[in-house]
Amino acid sequence: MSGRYGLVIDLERCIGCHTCTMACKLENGIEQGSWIKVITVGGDGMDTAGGRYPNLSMYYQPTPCMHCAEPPCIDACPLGAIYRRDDGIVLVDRDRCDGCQLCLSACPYEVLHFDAETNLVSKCTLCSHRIDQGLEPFCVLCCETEAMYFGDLADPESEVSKLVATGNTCVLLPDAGTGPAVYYCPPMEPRGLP
Amino acid sequence: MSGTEEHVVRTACPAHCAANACGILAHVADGRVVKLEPADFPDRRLRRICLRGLSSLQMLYHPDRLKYPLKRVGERGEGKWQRMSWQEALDTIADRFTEIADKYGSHSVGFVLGGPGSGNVKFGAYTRFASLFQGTRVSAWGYGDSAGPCAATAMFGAHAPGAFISAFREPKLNICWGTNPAESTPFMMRPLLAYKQGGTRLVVVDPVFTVTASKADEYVRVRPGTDAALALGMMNVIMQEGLQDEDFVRTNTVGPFLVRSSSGRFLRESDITPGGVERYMVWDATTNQPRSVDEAGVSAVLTGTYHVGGIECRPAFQLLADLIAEYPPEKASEVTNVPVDTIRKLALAYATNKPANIYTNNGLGRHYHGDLTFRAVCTLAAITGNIIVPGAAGHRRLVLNWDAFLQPDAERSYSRMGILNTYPSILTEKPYPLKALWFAFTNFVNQCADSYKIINELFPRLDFIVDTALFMNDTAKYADIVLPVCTFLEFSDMVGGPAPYLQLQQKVIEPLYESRSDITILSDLAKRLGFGEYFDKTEEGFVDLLLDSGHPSVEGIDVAGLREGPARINPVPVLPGTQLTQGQFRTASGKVEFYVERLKPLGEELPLYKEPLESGRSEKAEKYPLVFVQVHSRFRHHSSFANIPWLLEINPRPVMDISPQDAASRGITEGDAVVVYNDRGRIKLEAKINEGIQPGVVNIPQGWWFDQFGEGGHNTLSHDAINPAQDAIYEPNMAFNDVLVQVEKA
Repeated sequence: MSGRYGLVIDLERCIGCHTCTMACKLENGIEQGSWIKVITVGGDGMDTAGGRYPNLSMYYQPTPCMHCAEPPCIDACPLGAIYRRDDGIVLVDRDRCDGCQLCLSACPYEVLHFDAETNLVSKCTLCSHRIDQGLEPFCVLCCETEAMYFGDLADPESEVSKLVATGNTCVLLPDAGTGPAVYYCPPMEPRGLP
Repeated sequence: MSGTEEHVVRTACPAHCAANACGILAHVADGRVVKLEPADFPDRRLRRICLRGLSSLQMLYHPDRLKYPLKRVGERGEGKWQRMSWQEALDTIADRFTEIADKYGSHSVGFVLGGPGSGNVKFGAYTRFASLFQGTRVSAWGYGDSAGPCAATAMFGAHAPGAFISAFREPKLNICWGTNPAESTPFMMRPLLAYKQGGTRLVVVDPVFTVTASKADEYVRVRPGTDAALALGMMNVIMQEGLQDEDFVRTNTVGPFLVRSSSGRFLRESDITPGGVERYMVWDATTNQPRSVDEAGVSAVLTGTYHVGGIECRPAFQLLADLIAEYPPEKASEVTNVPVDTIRKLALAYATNKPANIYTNNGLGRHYHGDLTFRAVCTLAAITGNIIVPGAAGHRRLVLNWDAFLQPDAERSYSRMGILNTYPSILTEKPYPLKALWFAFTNFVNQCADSYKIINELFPRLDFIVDTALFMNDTAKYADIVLPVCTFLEFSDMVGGPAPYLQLQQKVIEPLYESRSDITILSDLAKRLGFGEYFDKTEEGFVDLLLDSGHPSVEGIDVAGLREGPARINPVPVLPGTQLTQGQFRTASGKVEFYVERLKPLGEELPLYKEPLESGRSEKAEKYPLVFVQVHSRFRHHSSFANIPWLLEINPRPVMDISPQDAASRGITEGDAVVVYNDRGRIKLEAKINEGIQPGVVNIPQGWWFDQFGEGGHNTLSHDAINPAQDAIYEPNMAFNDVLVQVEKA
């Protein structure tokens, strides 16, 4: 199909549980690593707070491939091994990849992975194999707090488009000009006691 | 997977997250489970799974799984084992149990079990076995989970406080108090976050800035173990502002009951009228006379002092008010370190945004006076009317065939002993000696108080130890015989939840290696001990027996139906004359008993605040100045999942969270190796500096195994002190978060 598959991830609902990471490993048979990583935004370490009491803050940012409209990885690959489908999903052709890793340094989101054992680069496919069967990405299905929404950003009637239309979403590194298909709803500011 | 035959089996994960199992679809190809995914429910919002559920496959196929029965051939704990056959293992156990029962009495054989939520039949089969053997069933609640039940037993005549203080469907305010559902019961976050995004404010009260706290509109940082003082301070503000719900107190609590000043006992009609009955008395404002509580037209007072036939009495609410008066917010602030203004605002918010839910879980009670903490919080709910009265919210009852299941022969029954009571039983032989222990779905050494006491003092006094386990864990290491059991994917059981459903934990594949289910093991052992006729059923046969209660709540539910999917528990109207009469609590008085008459001899009739046993403000703190708490991590379920490679990839080793201040004063920097010690134990691990930890506190997420620390294990630091009030009401609790330590750079 043509269109623009993407995700909206609600950071208010994300509890940093890494279920998406486990789901990705299981669905895609990844023994080491994962194509979606959960980053703590707060202190330096995982699950640590930023700020000082009483103004502590911490939230989590699940980070898959952004399936960019203008993917720098495609431009960086000398072999043309990375391509974008008509539905917007960016994929690596493993038969063409020679493991040069130029794409890794081109990606501002650091979501491409190099496997030394196979000498291949891999990345989030948005579970294109599931999408092709009419299913949602496995991380979306498994998300413990229903923080992830999947759909066609080109269809104004889709849930993801409606969420983006609220104006309460943002993308990572908007100035990079990559046009991500992954949007984030920011966490809510604490409202204090009623 | 192309070219292979794949089929899907619906089962359920019994990981015991608040006994609220997730439904699972297991994909099997060529006899191997290749994938797990969340199973659907009629209510789509109940379709869920978590990181542990998804990684269960790595437990099933873990290379370290125990594969056949083992007998110890060296000293206990030495690690020398010999493979044995199931026949030899079961014959030996039957012989040893018989011998020990002959010598010390059958109750000297104890069965130490994990939580019942981990499978009803598995749990029930052990209890059934213990009944028929007339052995001891060691209860699992005191593993850290009995403080809430102590409080709920005393106040509500029920087991869990949550049904009364956190079950309002349309709350105007939500408070998570001493609980971190975002890690321990993540499915709870769906409704909590939905409420929050719908406009309901979320408050989190916790000593640690947890993941749940990071979602709060207001995070209230409390000194560990002082929550009762916070509740009393809030009640003080509420009383000062006149915001108490006196109608609720008068109608639904023992507030108006007259208490005799001399004895602390409720005044009864029989105290003042010869031949009178055991009716409770109140003071009637209209006639200015004592009247029986259930007399028509009585307008009971809540305050004052009265004389009834020369007996001085006060309403129980007056006694509570006197206690509350001792805790102005300034004093509560001094005790809890919560700012006065926050106490005031929180009190007003809770009293004026009704109904308000307080979500708690067992973490709130893991200090020595945890029962008092729960009672103070529930009393706060009671005086503001934030309590669901039985019948008011359509409590859904599930009645299984437990009595007949657990005690199939009226002539034979088990003795019940709290897990913490096993320590004195073994050491002092009071009330009787335990001489043989069988551990099942529990890792006693790792997860119980004072590990070195267990290893060095308790175990040497036991004649025989059996452990059924998946791995050679820290308890199995000290057993005489270790039996390999199945993961949940290899046997059938029935699990509760998500409410209002029951699910079949359906066997997905045949047991791997020589592993057997606990139910099969017990059946084979029962035959050897002469009561095999009570164990002649399959696992699924036992599920049907459990469902055969004849109660309308489970009418029409059976294994055959459960194989296809979850069954909805039938809603049963609450009828007069049943245990849950409208408006009646199951206490002796039928009311919420914030005043507990039978605890008067211990001086704990009211929900007092008492300083933690190992307080950071005690003399002991001069030597050991840091309060050690052990939160529950999303990466483990207690000690389960601690060895799962995928989880270790993200969370590779034990760490100790410490405040920047306490780290700096000890010269500790991020990632340094540190030792944590007190008189009982010593552990070595890595430091993680975290602004979310208050000065004076260190946190080590619990459940790691001894081998994963540089030295020791987290419970080498904890203690086995028994709280007499808890012992009297229900069962003493292990005070895992009431422990002082010192930390040094290693």
